[in-house]
Amino acid sequence: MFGPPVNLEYRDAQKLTQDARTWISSILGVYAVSGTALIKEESIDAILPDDLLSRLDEMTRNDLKDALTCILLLIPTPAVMICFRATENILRRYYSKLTGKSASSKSWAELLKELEQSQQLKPPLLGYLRYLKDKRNEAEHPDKRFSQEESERIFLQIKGLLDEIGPL
Amino acid sequence: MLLIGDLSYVYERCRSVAEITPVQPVKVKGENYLLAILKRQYPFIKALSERYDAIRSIPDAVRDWIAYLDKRYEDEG
Repeated sequence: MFGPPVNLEYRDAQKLTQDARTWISSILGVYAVSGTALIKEESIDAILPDDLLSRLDEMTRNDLKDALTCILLLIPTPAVMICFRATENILRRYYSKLTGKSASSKSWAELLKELEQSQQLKPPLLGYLRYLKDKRNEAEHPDKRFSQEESERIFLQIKGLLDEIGPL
Repeated sequence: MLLIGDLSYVYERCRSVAEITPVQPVKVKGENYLLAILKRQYPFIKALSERYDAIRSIPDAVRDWIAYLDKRYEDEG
């Protein structure tokens, strides 16, 4: 009859009400601050406009959307990894478009070298591709982790690359 | 967001005991009652707190509540 209670007692309810209120407020507080370094939530539509997304194949489109989601959720290293997958796919498609050859059996470095030698690339485009390749080489080090700012910078470089390339 | 939904449920149920008249009985143990909800959300709160300094103290507080409620209250059976 006087064993442990089943229902929440008044004093515990008072304390847990206060604590839960504080927890909710604090958690909502951290989500209210975006935490991104360069990309702001209100500029997402401008970064990945529909006309740019519609030029991409489905896999690249989804990879870029996933990368952006990772960036906004402040998990930069996965964001960068998926950025590189998207970039490699963009590079392969661009190589095929430019040369008329299949890119499937070639590495990123081989594709870039051939494109450089073809002298068909404008300097800004070459700049984006070299930057992204250097960053991908960094990513291959097992200890490498990317900062939030690096991830956003890499994402914006891909956006610059796509703007420079035009329709694929 | 399920986390906020669950914590809001905890908050409202506690409030219905502490601040609302007539008081409504609120079970602590059992599927989808207070203790189960806190236990369910604890791993996520802990993971989240490792990213944000502002909520770093919350997992310990939740863990303490889980231990206390588990010890203090009985399951109706």
